[in-house]
Amino acid sequence: MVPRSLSFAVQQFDGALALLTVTGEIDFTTAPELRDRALELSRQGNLHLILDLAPVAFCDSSGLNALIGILRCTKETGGSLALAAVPDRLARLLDLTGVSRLLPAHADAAAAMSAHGAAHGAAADPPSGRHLRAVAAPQEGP
Amino acid sequence: MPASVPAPSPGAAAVPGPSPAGPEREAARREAARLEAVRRYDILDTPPEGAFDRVAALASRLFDVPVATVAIVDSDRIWFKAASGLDGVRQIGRDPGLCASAILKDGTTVIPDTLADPVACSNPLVAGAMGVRFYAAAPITTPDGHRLGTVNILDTRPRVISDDDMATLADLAAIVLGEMELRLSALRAVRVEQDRRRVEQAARTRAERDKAALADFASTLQRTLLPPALPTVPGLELACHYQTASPQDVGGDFYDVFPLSRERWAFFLGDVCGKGAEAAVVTSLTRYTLRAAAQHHDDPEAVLSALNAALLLDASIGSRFCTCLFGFLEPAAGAGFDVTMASGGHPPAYHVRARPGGGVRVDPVHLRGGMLVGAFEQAAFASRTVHLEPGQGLLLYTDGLTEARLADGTMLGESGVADFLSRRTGPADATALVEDAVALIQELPQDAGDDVALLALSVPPQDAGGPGVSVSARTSARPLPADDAGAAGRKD
Repeated sequence: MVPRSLSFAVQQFDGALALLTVTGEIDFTTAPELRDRALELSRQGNLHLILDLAPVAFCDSSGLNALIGILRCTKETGGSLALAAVPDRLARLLDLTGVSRLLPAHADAAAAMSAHGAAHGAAADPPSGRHLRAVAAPQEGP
Repeated sequence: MPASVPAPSPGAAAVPGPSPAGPEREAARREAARLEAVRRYDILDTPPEGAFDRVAALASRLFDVPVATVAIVDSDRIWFKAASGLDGVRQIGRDPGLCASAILKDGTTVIPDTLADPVACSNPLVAGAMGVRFYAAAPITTPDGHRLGTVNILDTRPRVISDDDMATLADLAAIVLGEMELRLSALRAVRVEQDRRRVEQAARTRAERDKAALADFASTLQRTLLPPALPTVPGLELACHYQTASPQDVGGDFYDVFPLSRERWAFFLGDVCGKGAEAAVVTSLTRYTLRAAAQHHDDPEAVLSALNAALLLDASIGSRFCTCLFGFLEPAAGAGFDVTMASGGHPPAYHVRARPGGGVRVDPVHLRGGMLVGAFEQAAFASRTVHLEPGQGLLLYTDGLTEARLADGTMLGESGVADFLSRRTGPADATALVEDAVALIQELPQDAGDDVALLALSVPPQDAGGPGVSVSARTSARPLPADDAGAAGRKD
C-alpha cells in the first residue's frame, strides 16, 4: 500500500475560530493525523473549529472516531465543532451512530461560517476579512 | 677471624634455588600446547586423503627408500596420515629414537645408521622385524611453532643424504603443513556454515514455538470473549457466525444470547470501534455490563444507557465506544416472539419474512436516533418492538458484512445486503440466513479484512410440527476455511 497522508490548510479568525481544510483520504492510518492537527489547533486557543471536508475523497469509521475525539475535546474546553461538505459515506455514518445530533454539518465552509456567526455573534465574517491569517500546514511528501 | 658468624635466619636456608622441576614443567606445558595444536587441525584418525598420500609416495620415490610416511604425533602414539610401504600400519607407539625424538627439535633429523645411535638402536622399528637402519625426518611445524609430526623416510640399510636432500625433505614437510592449513580453513568454513544453520534452525524453531504459543493464547482469549454456546430457546432457532481478521486478532465484534427467566431472554450484537487488544478490553467490559444490566432493566434503552455510563466511567474515557443492538425476547401471546430492541448507533437488523408464494421479504428494522455507546454522556437511544411470526427471522450483523468489498471496489452496503437477502430463495430460518450471508462474504473477490459477527433468530413455521428447538453456531478465525470453522450440530 502506498503510504498516504493528509494535508491541511488553516485559516484563523477572531473569536477563537479556526477553519481547518482537510485534503486526502481519512482511514485507519491517516485518521490520527486529523485528530492530532485539530487538537493542536484547539490547544493553541482556537475554541471553535470548523472542518472543511470538501477535498476529502474517502472517510471510513476511523474518521468518525477521530471526529468524536475532536468533538469531545472542543466541548470540554467550552468550544464547538462543526463540519462542512461532509462526504456521503461519513454523513450516513454520522446519522447511523446518532453523532449528527451533536455535530452540525453544513453544505460548505461559507454556510458553516455564517452558521457559526449566527450562533456565536460577530467575529465570523466570510473568510476574506482583514483579520484573516492564512497558515498552510507543511506538506508531507511520501 | 670473627668469632661468630651470624647464624642464618630461620627462613634463609629455605630460599629455593632454581627448581629442578622447572624445565620439566616447561616441557610439559609445551607438549600440552602442541597437543592442542594437533587437536585444532582435527586430522587424527581421519580417512586417507590424496594430497598426503602423494607426499608420502613422492618422498619414497625421490629418496628411493622402501618406506616414507606422513606422521602426526599424538600424546601416546604416532599416527600415519599417509604411509608408503607400510602395508596398512596406521599407527605405532610413541617410542623414543625416531619420530618421537625428531619432533623435539627444529630442523631435519638424520640418523645415517640407527644401530650406531644410542637411542634409536632400541626403537622397536630398529630392533624389531622391520630392521630399520636409516631414518630421516623433517618436522611439520605450524606458523606458531608447534611441531605436529614429521615427514619420514626409512630404509633397511644405512645411508648418507646430502644437504639438498635434507632441504627437499623439509620442503615436503612444509607442503604437508600447507595442506593441513587448507584443510583446516575448509573445516572452519564448514563449521561456520553449520553453526549458522544451527543458529538459524534454533531461531526458526523458537519463532515457530513462540508463534504457536501466541496463537494458542489468542485463541484461548478469544474463546473467553465469545459465548461458549448459544442457549436453547424453545420455539426459536438461533444461528451465529463469528470471524476475526486473523487468528491472532481477538476482534472487536461481539454477540450473546442468554436467558433471564423461563420466559425471557436477552440478546445483543455489536462492534467496538478500534482493533486489537485495546478493542478486546472494551468488548469484554461491554459483554459483562450488558449481561448485568439486562437483569436490572426491563427497557432495552435503559440497558444501553447503563452500558454508556459504564464505558464513560472507564479510565480512558471517551476513547472506548461501540455500536450495539440490544434486545429482549419473549414468546408472544398467540404464536411467535416479541422482540424489543434498542440501537446504539448500530446498522439496522433485517426482518426477513417468507412470502406466501416463495422468496422472502426483507425490511430493515430502523431505530433512528440511537447514538453510539460510550462516547457521550448525553447519548440517547431508540427502541421498538418487532413481532416475529412463525416463518420469520431477524438477522443482526456487524459492518464486516456491509463493508465487504465487491469486485469493482465498492462496498456491499446495507442495500447490497438487503438485495442479496431478498433474492435468495431458501427458507428464512436462522441457520440458512447465516449460512447464506457467510457464503456471500466468502464469494467476494477481496478479502473482507475485517471482523464479522452475525446473529440470526427465527421462529420455525407452524407446519414444522410444533415449537422446535434449534441452535447452530459458527465461529471461525481466518484463514481457516469455513468448513473447518466448527459448525455445531443443528438440533431439530
